[in-house]
Amino acid sequence: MNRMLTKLTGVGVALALCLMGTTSWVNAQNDLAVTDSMLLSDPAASWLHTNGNLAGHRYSVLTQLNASNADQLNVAWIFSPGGETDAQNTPLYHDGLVYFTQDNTVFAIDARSGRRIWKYEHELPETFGGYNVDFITGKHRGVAILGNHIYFLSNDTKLHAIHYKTGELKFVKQYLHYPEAFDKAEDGDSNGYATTVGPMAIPGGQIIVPLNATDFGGLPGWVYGVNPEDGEVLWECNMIPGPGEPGYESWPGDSAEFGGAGPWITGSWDPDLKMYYTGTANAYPWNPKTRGGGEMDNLGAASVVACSTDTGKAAWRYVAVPGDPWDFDVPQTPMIINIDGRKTVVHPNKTGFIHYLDAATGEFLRAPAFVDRLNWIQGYDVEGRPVGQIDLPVEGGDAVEVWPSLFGGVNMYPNAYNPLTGNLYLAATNAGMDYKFEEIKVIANVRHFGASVEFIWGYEVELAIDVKTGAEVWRDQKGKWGYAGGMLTTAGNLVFYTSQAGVFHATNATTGEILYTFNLGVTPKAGPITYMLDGKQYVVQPVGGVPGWDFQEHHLEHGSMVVAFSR
Amino acid sequence: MRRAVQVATVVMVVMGCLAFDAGLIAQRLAHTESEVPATNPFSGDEKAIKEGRSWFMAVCAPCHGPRANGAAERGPSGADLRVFKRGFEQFVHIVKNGREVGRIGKMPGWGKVLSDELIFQIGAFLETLAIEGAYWGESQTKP
Ligand code: HEC
Repeated sequence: MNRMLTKLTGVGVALALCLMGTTSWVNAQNDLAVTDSMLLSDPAASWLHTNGNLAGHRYSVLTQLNASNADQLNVAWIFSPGGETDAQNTPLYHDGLVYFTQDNTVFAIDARSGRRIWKYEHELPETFGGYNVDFITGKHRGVAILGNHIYFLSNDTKLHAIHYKTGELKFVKQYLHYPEAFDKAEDGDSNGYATTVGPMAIPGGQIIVPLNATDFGGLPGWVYGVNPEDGEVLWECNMIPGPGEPGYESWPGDSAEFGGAGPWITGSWDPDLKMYYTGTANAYPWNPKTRGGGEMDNLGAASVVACSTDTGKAAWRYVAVPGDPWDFDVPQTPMIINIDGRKTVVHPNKTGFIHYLDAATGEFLRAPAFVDRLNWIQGYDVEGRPVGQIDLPVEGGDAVEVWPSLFGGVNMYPNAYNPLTGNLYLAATNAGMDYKFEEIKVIANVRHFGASVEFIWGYEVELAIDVKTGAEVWRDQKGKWGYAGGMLTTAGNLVFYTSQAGVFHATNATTGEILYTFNLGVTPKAGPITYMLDGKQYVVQPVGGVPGWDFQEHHLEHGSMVVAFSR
Repeated sequence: MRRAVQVATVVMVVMGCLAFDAGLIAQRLAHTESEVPATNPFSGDEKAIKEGRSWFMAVCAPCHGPRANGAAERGPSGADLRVFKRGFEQFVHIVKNGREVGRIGKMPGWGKVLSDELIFQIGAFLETLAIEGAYWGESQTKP
């Protein structure tokens, strides 16, 4: 029926149908399609983007739960996805359903009861594997929703469009070749792209698909814009500059071919500038000897890149760690915040600094530090260039002590921004590292890191930072190593997060007073979300993974849960 | 190994080639395994240890940590290899074939990409990190 209709109608009607989905006509009439205007709003009743809104704020306008009643929270329901890996996925909520993905499986969960409505499973190819690939297999940071479909990116760079109510598959499209296990790669080349990132839906009918291969051997990073109807590629944006682009010369020889710089965390989008902002991974290999020895910029790696979503052309690139010798990738979501009338990209990252850049031009504005201990540079000059970088280690020689460690600062655990308090909320950590350069070994055409690292374990700290001044407003410092799973903030003057020890927190966003805690007993690796259903506000927190890399005696076992709280 | 013998025996019986000595096949198969010496020929060899260290740092340290104590960036705590106690042949067997651990961690097999010699060298390096409880001598149970 539907296929016939599509055939008979013109482009305009077909476009309208796109938004309604391709399941049966009867079904389509009951469906609540996600529209462009819904995508453009801050989260209220629904939570439609991994990062809450397009600007990456993780801020909800809901106020039913607020600083005066958060102490009355209770567990509303629990769902177990039976996950075997880290649960890194920030869920979505739409039309009575919570979406959660882990282990290449998507779950639609009844947002009232926590019962499973449908499950969509994808099996990875048998040869899938390779350098560091086991480490990320089964991890996903988000899904997107547009029209009547959930967009899920499995680890093998396949985009799956799945009907949001039925779990029925509309299409699967693979973008790039995935890495293969050393002993299974047929042509003896194990390099490939593996995706953990959440895709993002933007108005105008595009799904953003970031593609990363960095620590799997260093194939260069890309962001694709694709058609939500069939997954066809609309544009491609290269993270590393190509010939004729500024910075192309900052990669000597053929080093850009394995230079890394993959985007691996969902970025942000500005509706006026029509730019997608993403942070990028480290330059590859970690040992910089083949790419300028740390003396050349390697622009595009450890950078913020602004891609035009009309053309895919990079409007600008800013390198936060020129020649990145420290594995300081800066993949964190660049938040778009209006500061004193200027559209500003605010980017807390692994370096221990928060970079402020002009969203239109990429002009460097300032970079206040937020970590307790920092030695890799003294700071940034007015042009945004690092000043006073410490000496790099000598290959095969002694270790150099570096603060922060390559865990950051902040890492993959998402941060939030509350326009009412004017504060950023960071899932930060303090740690250092003893860092060495080693010979770069090659197996199955995969260049290895060429570096080794030992950590100087520090402590977890959740930070509130005044976005205008960069000054700390309050902190919730924990005794052990790790990070909160991620931050959520609301117009109810609240911040929600779960500490590495597995304790869910509701905290006063202005003062940092802890109003409510609940011991979930499982470590978190994802941020919470909030939604409104039947007049009741819920907060949902996924947990699952190994606490603090298991070295700091959190005394937690691996678990796997999605937990909802309400009053 | 024992399974291979059984299979071989069954096949021979079925084929009616009773004259054919299944024991001989078993011996041949055993020979392939026994190319791994009972103890590490590179133990204490400075040059081999240096080479083994270099490969360990590149290939194994992301999971096992540069001190081989299991504390690593690619965590989640691979086994602490400083207390490896299954003996040399078992070491080689595990490194070549890997081990499914199920949840979260996985020990990949390296048999097709690292030569025996290199694996022995990595072993020689690891021996230098051994702490109380470690054992690198002849394996009590054969792989
Ligand atoms: C992808 C991560 C990863 C890499 C890379 C890796 N290992 Fe492992 N390895 C593990 C895990 C996880 C275990 C624990 C397995 C278990 O508990 O059964 C393990 C176990 C082992 C064991 C068994 C320890 C015991 O006491 O039984 C040995 C030996 C070993 N690894 C050696 C190596 C060597 C040598 C290399 C490099 C050639 C290496 N591994 C590379 C993850 C890794």
